[in-house]
Amino acid sequence: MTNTTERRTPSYRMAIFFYAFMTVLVLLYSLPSIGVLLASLKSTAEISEVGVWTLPRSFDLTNYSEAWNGGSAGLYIRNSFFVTLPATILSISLGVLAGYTLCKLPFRGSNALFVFFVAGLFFPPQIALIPLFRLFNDLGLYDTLWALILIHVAFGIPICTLIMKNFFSAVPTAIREAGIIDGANEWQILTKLMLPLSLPALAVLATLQFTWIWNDFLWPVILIRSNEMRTVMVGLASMKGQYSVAYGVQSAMAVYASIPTLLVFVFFQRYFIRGLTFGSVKG
Amino acid sequence: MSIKKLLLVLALLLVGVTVVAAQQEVSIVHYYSSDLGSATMAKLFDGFTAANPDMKVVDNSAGHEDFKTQILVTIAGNNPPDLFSYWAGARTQFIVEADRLMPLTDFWSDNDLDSIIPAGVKPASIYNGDVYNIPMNVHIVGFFYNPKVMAAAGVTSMPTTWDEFLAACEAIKASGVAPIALGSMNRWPAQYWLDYTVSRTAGPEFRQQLMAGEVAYNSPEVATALEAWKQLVDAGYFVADANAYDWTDAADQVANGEAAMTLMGTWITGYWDGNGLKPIDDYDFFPFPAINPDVPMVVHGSVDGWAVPASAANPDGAKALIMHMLSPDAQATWAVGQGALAAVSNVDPSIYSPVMKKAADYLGSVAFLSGYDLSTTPPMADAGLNMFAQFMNDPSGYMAYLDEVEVVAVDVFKK
Repeated sequence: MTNTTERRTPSYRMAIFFYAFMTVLVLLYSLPSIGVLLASLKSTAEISEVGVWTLPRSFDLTNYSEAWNGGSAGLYIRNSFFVTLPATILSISLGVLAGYTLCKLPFRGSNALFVFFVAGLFFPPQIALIPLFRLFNDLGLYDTLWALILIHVAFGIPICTLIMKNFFSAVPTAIREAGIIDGANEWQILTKLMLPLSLPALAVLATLQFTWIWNDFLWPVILIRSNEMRTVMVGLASMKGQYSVAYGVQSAMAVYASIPTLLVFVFFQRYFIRGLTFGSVKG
Repeated sequence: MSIKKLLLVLALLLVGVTVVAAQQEVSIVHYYSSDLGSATMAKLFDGFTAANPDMKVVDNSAGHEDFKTQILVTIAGNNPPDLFSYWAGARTQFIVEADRLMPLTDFWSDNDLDSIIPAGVKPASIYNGDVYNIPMNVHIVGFFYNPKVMAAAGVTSMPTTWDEFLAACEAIKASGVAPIALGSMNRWPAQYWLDYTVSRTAGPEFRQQLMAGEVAYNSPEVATALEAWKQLVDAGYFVADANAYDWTDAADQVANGEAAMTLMGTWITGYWDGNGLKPIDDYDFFPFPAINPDVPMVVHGSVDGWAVPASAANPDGAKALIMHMLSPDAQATWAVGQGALAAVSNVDPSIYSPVMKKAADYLGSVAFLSGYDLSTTPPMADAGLNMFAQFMNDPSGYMAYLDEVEVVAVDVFKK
């Protein structure tokens, strides 16, 4: 009983300590973003004179307009969307189908198949650089966004299958049986019963996949040659010359590039933590 | 549709196709991806297509770090561009060894490039006896200094010998300013100290042997070179914590008067000019002083050039484009736009700022050798660059560092 009393009157001091500690952590974690924001409002000359960590002398959006016009941020962001949205949707859809089948409709060898799917997670993409380059080259997909979409769907299937299978295994099989008794077919059970219950898992996957694909750098560097097909992360890196710096404009571009992932996270945030634990502890 | 009409349509289509095909494409990939770099490149391509209306340049650029991976994959994957920018030195050597580059020896002699490319720069083009890399611009490394800080310390004539250099450092230190700034956070800026201390004490020939793995890192010659470098660190002539700064920070320290000079490439002038500094008034140049007066002087730096892949689809177009870029006008446009030295000797010298003019004159007077990371193989360079960072952190253990690097060298060069 003493325990519950203590819990009802939490130590005021502990709370202060907790919030102070959290404030410090928040500051620490947001320092890089603050640095980028400050740099994006300064010219290179100002940065070289006073450094990044001072307030800008004037509220100057030159870097932002330069990144948008000279740096073609708009084009790059559009390309990134053209890759990220279809790849996210496709990889999650395939993951849902594979996860559902492996979990609720097991067949001989389905466990081995599951291991096969998940093994993709342990496969470093770098070892496939040259074979995949040649493949897409022969398919005529080199230097197109299709190549990136295919790659990200393929590399997204393992994690999507893993999380969806684990999530479905937490959903009572009785629900499926009830559906069958009421005359639903497998497709209706999946779309009408299972998917509405799996919103947290879908939100997690959508956030993770979107962020990963959006931030991917390796594949667009390898599979894209022309400036018109660049994704935003490659565009961001190419603003810096061999011996020249573009701190301000690059920071502005980085701010543009982070807005979509930020929005996705804010939108799915309330599902995110719940879904993460769902996927990870149930096995 | 009658057969006649069909044939007519086919004939028209064929004509259409040949008209389109008559305009050849020259595809190029380069690492001049910054705003200024890509804009200046585009200017050169416009000049080329104006002079050759039947050619079309397909211009692609990539950030230079990404470029390193991208170009190797496209070459290995058999879909290379017709030409690409590349660093002369060990990187070009690597692709030459893999038999993936087209020899340009005949191209060189047919166009008499000996008459326009300085003899000192020519060795950077030659690999296994053939020409594989045509230079586009040259950067050289030397001391860039703040004349006001030097004047305040009473250093009026720039040192040409090691003793004069030490005396100048002492005077600057006495005036309360750090003599030498170095930003070795990304390791490579420190490499020029090894380049110069080795080639100024043991000589350029020994230095080249060291790069090729023919002499040992823990040999007495390299130890002597590091002794000279260590002497400066021990005397407190370097700004403290060099590894905490980038080269632009070191440039800022010189510009702001916190340090007197920095050993850096001519690209630093582009950075300073962009920040509104004025050549001669705000910054100036002097070459690395002699240490051992008996060895020949060389200048270190980097050459950016052009290479043509062995499987290029349109090598003639690539060669025509290279010749256009070596024309005096194109070279002048490029050198000014890049803050670099032109690769050819027939550009109008008035394009250079007075400081760049000094650098150009120095390049014309001595032999040229690429910097460390472009002179030795990438795995060797990686171990060496780590050692320089370690050295700047604590130079006292330099002999142990050299022993460690030699272990890597034995492995890399299969000694």
